[in-house]
Amino acid sequence: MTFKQSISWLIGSLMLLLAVNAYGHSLSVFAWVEGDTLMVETRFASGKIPVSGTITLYDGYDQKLSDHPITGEEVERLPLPNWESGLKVESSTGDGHDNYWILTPDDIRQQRDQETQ
Amino acid sequence: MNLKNLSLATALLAGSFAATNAQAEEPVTVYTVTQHLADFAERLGGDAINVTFPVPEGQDPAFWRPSIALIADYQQADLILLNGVDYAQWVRNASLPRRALVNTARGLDDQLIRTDTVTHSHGDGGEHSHASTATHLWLNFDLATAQAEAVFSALNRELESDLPDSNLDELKADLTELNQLAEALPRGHEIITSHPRYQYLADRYGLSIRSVNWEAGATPTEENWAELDALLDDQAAKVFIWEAEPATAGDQGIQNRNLNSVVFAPGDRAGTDSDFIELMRQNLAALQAALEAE
Repeated sequence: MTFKQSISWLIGSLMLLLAVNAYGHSLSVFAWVEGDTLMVETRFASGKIPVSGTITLYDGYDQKLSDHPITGEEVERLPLPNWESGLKVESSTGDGHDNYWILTPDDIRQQRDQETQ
Repeated sequence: MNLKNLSLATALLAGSFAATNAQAEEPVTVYTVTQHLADFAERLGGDAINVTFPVPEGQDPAFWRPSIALIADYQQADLILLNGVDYAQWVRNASLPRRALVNTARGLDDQLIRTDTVTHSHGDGGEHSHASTATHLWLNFDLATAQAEAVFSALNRELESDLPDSNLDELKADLTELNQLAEALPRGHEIITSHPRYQYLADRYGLSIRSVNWEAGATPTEENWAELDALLDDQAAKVFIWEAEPATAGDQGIQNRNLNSVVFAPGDRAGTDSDFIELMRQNLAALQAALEAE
């Protein structure tokens, strides 16, 4: 991980923490891109990492692209799908716990550019 | 330099000035999360800004989810006016440029109203709680004034020039008038609202307000009526406030319960014919009539 990526991750984790604090009830989701990998962090309000559930990816037209099981990893690493219209990353653990993170095409382009610098 | 070349140089120079001026005069783009903030920005910024409030008519801006294309538009804005207090929940689900974000509730923490905290446990998330803050702070017109000042300050900063102070003074005068109208509302009557959105109105102007939790514009279900009847069994009320025009059956059900029915639109949604000030004048006049009616 480059310095810039570390800073992105740190900022993202901080946002995730703030989101956890603000939404006691909901799940918190944060996603970013490293190269051709989509990185997804999902947390309960307690900070616990869910051990089961589903990450669903949608394109910018809200068309479902794929489902991926939550495996209990701190950061789930998924292959980056076609992202030209952007991505919605939705995590669901059942029991009414779900939330999402939006990556616009510019977000993804900038994050990929950061890595190549 | 011959005359032809001189003319060409002059034309190029003039074109260059025109381009520079066009660039300098390009309006600041402002995106907002509520209609009332869009109204404030338009009044304060005038022709110097372009204001966009993209939430479609009929949708609740607090729970609306923009498309990715619209989020990209927000990202390109010079200013994004937020209501704060976690209104417009989508804001926490996307990266928005910090340079553009304006929390118009900044500095108002000690005047915000906390709502019930619920602690419960289900699923594998363990025990957790959710405390929240009432979001419709602009229905206290003192707080709306503070929001207007925050918008004015942000616009001046972004424009790198001083907008006429009269723009703010006139808006503040209108908000002061709303304060006076609300302070003149008759007290001592019980009010029930179709949705818990009026905490700041009740708190600032000494009104006794309780709420059911009904969908705006929808015909109330049997469960909804039972919820209302339970409240009325507890304590009688005189007025029922709808946040939007009710379905006929809904309005009839309210009248059957001897409640005076009135619409008080909170002003955050798109689709009203009036600007915020005029809408609130109409709301307050209608509420006053309902409170004074037999």
